[in-house]
Amino acid sequence: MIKVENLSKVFPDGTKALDDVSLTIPDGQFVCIIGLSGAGKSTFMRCLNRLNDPSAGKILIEDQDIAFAGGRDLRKLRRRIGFVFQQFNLVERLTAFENVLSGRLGYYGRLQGVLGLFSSADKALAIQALKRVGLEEKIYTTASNLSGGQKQRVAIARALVQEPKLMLADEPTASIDPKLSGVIMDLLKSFTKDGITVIVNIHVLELAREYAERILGFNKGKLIFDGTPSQLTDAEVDRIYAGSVADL
Amino acid sequence: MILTYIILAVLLCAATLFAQGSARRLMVAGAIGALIVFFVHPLAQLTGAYSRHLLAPTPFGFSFVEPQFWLIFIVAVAVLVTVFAKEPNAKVTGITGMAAGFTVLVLLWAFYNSSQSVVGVSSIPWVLETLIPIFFGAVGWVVSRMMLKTKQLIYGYVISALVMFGVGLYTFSSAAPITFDALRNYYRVVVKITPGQENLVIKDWTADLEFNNKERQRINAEWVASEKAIADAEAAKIKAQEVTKNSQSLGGQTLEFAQNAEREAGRSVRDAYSKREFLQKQRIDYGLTSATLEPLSTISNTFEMPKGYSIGRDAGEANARRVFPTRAAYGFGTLALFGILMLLGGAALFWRGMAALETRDLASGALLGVIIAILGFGFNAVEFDLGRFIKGFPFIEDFGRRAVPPDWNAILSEGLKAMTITIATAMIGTVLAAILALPSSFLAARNLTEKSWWGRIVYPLMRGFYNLDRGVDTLILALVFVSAVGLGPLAGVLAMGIHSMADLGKLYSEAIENAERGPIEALEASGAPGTSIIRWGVLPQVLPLFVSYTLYRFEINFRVSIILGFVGAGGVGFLIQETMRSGKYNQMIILVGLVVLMVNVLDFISANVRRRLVG
Repeated sequence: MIKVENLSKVFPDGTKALDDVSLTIPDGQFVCIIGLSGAGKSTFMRCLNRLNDPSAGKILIEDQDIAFAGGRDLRKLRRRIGFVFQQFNLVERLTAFENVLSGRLGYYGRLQGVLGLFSSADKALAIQALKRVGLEEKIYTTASNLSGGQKQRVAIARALVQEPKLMLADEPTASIDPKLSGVIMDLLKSFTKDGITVIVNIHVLELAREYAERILGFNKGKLIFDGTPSQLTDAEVDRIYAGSVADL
Repeated sequence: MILTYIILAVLLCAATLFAQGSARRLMVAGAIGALIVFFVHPLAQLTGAYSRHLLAPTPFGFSFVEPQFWLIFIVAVAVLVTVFAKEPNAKVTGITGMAAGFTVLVLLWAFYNSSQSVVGVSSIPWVLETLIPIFFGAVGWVVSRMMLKTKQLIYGYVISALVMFGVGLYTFSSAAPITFDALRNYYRVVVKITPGQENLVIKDWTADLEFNNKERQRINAEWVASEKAIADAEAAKIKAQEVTKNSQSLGGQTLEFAQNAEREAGRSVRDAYSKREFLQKQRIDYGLTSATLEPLSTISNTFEMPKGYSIGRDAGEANARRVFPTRAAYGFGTLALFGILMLLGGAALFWRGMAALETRDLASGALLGVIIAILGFGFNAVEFDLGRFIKGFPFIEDFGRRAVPPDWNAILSEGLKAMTITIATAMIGTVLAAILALPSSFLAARNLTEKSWWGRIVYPLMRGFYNLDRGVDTLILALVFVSAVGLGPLAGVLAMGIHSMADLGKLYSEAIENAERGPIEALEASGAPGTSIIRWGVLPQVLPLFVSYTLYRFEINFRVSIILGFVGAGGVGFLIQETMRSGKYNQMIILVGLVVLMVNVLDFISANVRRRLVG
């Protein structure tokens, strides 16, 4: 269970990216976040695994507050949170297998990590993850030789080998062929069956309606909609997407 | 010497006019340059009794006794005024430019032909004492403007002002002339001679009269003798040539001896001629064309001291000097250059008209003037002299003649052996540098160090070390290491490793800083420790670049290791030096060819590998 209490984030230039956000997400829920770009969706997501530091508030993951954790504690919490990026963020010169395996580095000490002494169990886990995302053919292919959709699936496999409780995906379909959006979303949704909570930032409203169990709407850093897809009426959509882009 | 500047000016004008460039820019460059020269460049030499009395004042410095020099200032300003006028007129501006250039050239010509008067010198105080702190302040200001953000600018300005003030405190203090003896009374000007100084000059002259007359007799005698010496040497040379011709058929050692003797005779002829040349110069300096020297009469300000004679010791100490207008300093050349720029620029403007008003001309013209003024100083500082090169060219010819035909048999195997040492030196030195640079470059990369407090401390230290190390060249380090580990390749390898480490480290750390942020962030998000992120997120990205930079450094180090041979690190450089010293140019040419070949082969291989790695 994830519990966010009064989360705020103010950037050094004074912009309020998050304004007093509170919510609770039970295990295994598939949540989509919508809103204009700059509304605070990405910041919210990046605060959840502390790629951004919040200014105030609490983020309780399994009753542990991550909001102001640091050092080893933070690393321990982070390894149970998978993160899928819009730009995949793979190391282009490594193979798919090595990229996926690097997702396990949080479970190894410094020396083992530097020397790459991965256990055979973890190697099996990586291969299994690649199979699950449908890339058993491409295990030893260099990331730079993969297509956009394949790269994103490798990135998902990398998040998966972390054995996460929570999987965050920031616009995972924005940089790939629109036809493949469904494949990625299906894959992400399938993880909820294993009890993994999945939160997806998405700007395609149709995909959010189609896949989400619950939709969060952000506007100017405030959480202004929290409900099921059926509750998301056209009026609510207008409210979420209110304000011109120039204001932001 | 002056010829260089005149050629430079004409080339510059020709290039600008031929390319339809802006004539106004030439004029501005000429005017700004003339103003700089007027206050900064030395015009001609003054001599006293000792070399420390030598002095070369600026045109401004001369203007106190030669007020016509103020014309330089006036015409330069006039040119700038007409060029910068609100509604510039091509005809007026052109005429002004021509008049200005003409004035400057006439002034120079008249000064060059003026008499060698005797003058006094006096100094304008506190010139360097003021300029040096201002220079420091200006550097601080410029650096602040370039490096700092708007909010931090004020700190930069405050620090610059403090530095300026601090340096000022030093330059005005009594300790300054002890550590920096040229500081006080730096800017000296020519003034009218006082009656007291005049008396000293006459007294010194009378005291030296006897000695000078003897000296003249000696030189005259040598001059006469030198004519005979040349004739004798020429005769000996002809004789030696005959001997060589006769021993041609005998061959062997006899021929070799004869050839050596002939070479020796040739050298004697050359020496005899250069001695006569030297004496001729002395004859001119000592005014030997006139009769014996007479005591000077006390005629106010018109000294009848013959040309070439300088003043005596007491007068020199009392700040009297003799002006030698023909001993031009570089300011003479640069002023002529700027005069020609104004003259030809004005002429072009007058006949061609103003094509279009370009405000950019003014800034670029001023910049051009400043650059030429600095270059003028530089040409002088390196004693640039085309005449000397032309005069010395026969020696280069001789060098080439003695290098052919190349002697393959004597040197090739030894040369190849030395070449392997040279290559190995470069290889091991580079590897050593890479081993040192690899770990340290991560500490010098801003993106990896800025997150922890110890990183923020280590980063500037590592960067500072690199910058320090980069400043100490391999050659200097090699000499230090030679004293530690003795002559031989080891000293060279160590020096190369330590110096190249800084260059490689800097390149490596810049590659790390330019690494893609995404993969690093992804590993951070998965909770990986920092060292693992570097190994799996950063290293795979930068490794090809590292290899490429290392290869590039190897190319450079190969050339460096040849030079290292000259300071005793062995290899082909050492061999080149040895063959050169013993005059075996026909062997040296083989070694040089070998080096040229190897440089190109290595560059070709390395460039191809690098293209594949990064391309």
